[in-house]
Amino acid sequence: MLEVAELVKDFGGVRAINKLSFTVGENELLGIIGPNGSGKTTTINLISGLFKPTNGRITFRGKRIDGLPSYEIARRGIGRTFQVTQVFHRMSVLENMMVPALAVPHKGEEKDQKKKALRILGFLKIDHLRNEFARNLSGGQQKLLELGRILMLDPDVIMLDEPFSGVHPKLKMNIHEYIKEMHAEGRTFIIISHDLQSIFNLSQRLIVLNEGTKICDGVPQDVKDDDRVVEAYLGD
Amino acid sequence: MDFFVAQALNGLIIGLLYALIAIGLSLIFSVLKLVNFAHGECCMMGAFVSYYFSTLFGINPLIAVFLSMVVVFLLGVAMQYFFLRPLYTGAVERKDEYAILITFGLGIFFQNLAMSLFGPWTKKSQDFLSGVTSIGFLTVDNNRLVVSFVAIAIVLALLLIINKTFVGKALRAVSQDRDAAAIVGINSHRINMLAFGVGVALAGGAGALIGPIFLISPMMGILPGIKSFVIIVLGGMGSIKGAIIGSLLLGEIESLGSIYLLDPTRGLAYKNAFGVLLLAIVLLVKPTGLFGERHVRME
Amino acid sequence: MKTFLTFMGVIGLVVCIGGSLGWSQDQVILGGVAPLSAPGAAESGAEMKIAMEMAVSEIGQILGKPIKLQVEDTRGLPEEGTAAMNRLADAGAAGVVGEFHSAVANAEIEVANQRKLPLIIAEAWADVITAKHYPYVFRIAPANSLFYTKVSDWVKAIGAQNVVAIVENTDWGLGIDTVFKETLHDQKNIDGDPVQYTSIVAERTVTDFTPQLLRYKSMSPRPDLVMDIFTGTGEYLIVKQTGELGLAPNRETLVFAVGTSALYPEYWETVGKYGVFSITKTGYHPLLGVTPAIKKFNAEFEAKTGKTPTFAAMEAYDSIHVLAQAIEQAGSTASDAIVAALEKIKYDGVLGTIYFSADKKPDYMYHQWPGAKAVIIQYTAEGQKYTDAELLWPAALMP
Repeated sequence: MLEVAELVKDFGGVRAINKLSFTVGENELLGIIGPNGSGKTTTINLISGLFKPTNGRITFRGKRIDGLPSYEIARRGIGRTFQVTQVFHRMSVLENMMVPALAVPHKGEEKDQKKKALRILGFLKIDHLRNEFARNLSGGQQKLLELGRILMLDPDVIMLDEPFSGVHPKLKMNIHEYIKEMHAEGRTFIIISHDLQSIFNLSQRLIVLNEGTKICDGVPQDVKDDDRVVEAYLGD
Repeated sequence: MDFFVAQALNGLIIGLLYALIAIGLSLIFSVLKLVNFAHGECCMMGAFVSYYFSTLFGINPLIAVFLSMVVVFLLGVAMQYFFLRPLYTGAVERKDEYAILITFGLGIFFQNLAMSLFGPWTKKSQDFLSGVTSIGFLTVDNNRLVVSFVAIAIVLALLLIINKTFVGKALRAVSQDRDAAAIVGINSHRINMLAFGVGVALAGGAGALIGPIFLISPMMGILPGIKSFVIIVLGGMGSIKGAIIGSLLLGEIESLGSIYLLDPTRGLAYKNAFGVLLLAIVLLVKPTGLFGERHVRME
Repeated sequence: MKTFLTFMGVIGLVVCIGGSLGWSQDQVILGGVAPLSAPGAAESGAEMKIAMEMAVSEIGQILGKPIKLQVEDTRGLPEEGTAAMNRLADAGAAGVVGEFHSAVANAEIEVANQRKLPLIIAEAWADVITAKHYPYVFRIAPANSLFYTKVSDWVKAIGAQNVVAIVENTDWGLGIDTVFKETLHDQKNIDGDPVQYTSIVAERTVTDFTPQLLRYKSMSPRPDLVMDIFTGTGEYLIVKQTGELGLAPNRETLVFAVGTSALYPEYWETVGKYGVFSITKTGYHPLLGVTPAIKKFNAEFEAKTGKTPTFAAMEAYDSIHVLAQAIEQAGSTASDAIVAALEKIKYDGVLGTIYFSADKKPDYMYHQWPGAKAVIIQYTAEGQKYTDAELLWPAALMP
């Protein structure tokens, strides 16, 4: 359903992504790993429209989305979170949840939207914090809020950038559960993580990036045994 | 005592006028993360537009104020669309420098445009309400009273819009995190345009309001532009509350300061320095300004 | 490629030099300096520029060559004045006339002196301009001391005891302030009572004078006279705010708008009814005598602009004529020859027979036209032209 083809991104003279191609199937749970600076977050930024590709195509459900502004991509059903959580600090948790509803006000009554927000917060078990300012939440809670916020848009594809980093181990387990549950509901996931254990556990398929190119693509077990991956991680 | 009250009242009225201009600048900064150095000129444009609405077409001067706000809003939308949008589409590399240069340039352009369109002469807009009101020892020009109430009304309306409406919440969301707002589907270009339009419209409204009080000329915007910049740094960049409180503070300190501080016979010569002095002290104690969040930049 | 560039450069240079030589041989360049935009007093600057153009088109030729008038906008800013003078010197101007703001004139005389460029100051009053005794600097406008000691005489003659002032912090404003401090404060008025003179200095960009005016209002006894020693927008605002606060004009207190801006129609547009009974000064008034030269100038100026000229225009007009005549008499555009001619000149202008004093006592008299006049007038109706205002002083001229 999502296809990345020959993607190139330059920053000044530096090529961050070099002819990257991969596809993501319907309801797939794809993990992307790679050493620091290998282009994982850049890839997500390109797909979500925060960056414009220098070259290449991104197609979603058969339509080009590269070059579209990120709000348009979000409205088409691709949601994402950030490596460093980006919640609206000076708004309450509930207000944060209501921001996506501002974007597409015709999608329903405010009352219904509020109900939906509370249901999602309940699912993520942070509904007791609904009136708290977002900046007062712990790092993990902010990650949940960020996740909840994109669920408001009912995205078909959810891209998570380091969902487990800096999260309390107990909360990490919960996040695993939520991802599995949402995946079971039919959503497609792209997850970036340094937490290899978690990602090997969760993913159905893994892509390994190094220096902006794909060096390996396959089921977790195959990837684990691939020499190139070991080399990329351990260096020379 | 009477004398003090009269001075404080004057400071309050001046502060309210500052607030209108400064809130606009702060709103623009909070959403677009740039300082609009053409803000004072937008104030001037508003003053001239309302002047001509009321003198050429005989429109009631108060209605002319609102019409001028609409005109300046459209001007702001155009400025945003043609000159500032490239900052947010990734077309510009050195964003801070570009923003400073382009807004400065537009400001100078407006000054010269006004000079050739309207001439260099000082003009006075029509009175909102002529005459003066005397309450006991206080004598206040009626225009100032009207303007104060209108300024309060505009500020309250703006606060209501920002805090209660869809649009206001979207403005706050973009101001707090542009990317996060974008990835949940908020069209930040439209919000930019709106914030810039509303921001300069407030300045235009302020210009239209001060027309009958402090007179209008093509260069009238320079000082308000500088002062509103001082105010938003003082109040905390991007904070609306900070802009309001900073404005009132500056109004009072200018009014009282030039009388009670220093040698009163020289006080007016330093009037414009008081704000900067106050700013320096506040920044030494609180580097982010009174209500400032940590310093934000365009990314 | 490099050769090509060099070649083009040489051609460019030749064209430039040839061009500028061509200019200076074919025509005489007269420079003008005036504030044509804010923060300068643009009303006056615009008027002066028109008057200069009128004079140039009348004169037609100097030394058998056509005249090119180059008027530079000094915006009331000293640094702009310096730049303008340098531009004019670079352009090869034979001499420069004009200026309205003393602070700017003060900067311009330095360039005139350095670059040996004869400069006739048309309408800047600070004593210092001629008191520096620069050989290349002349002045047609009165010096502050020449006129404001007479204003002090008038204040004493009307029996005022309490005079207050708001003064712009420029050479012009502070100069007048000094004259009043010396010739008014603690001096006895006509009734033998001492005159109290209090002044507040303000920056030129100030728009709200309310705090200081309130202070004056709370004085006891109430001031007899508020001296508005400002030009431009500030001058209007002081009259307006004085009226709004109920400080003046009334039976107890009058406003004296000292700056020239009070002579323009904009005065009435901005101060409205508060300008009635306000007092101001002018270097020209019909009661000073309407010579045929004035009649002609006024008629032409009004035909051209639809406005009544003020003395600033007349001074600018006369300045051009004086400069042109000096060049003719010198027989060349060499600056020292022009200065020598100016020192001997006698020119019957709109404002009278203009000549320049060689006295160095008092200081400001050097290269000053001693015949410069000014009178005190009072408006008696809203929208009145200054030429219709009542003459208050000098008593000798009063009808």
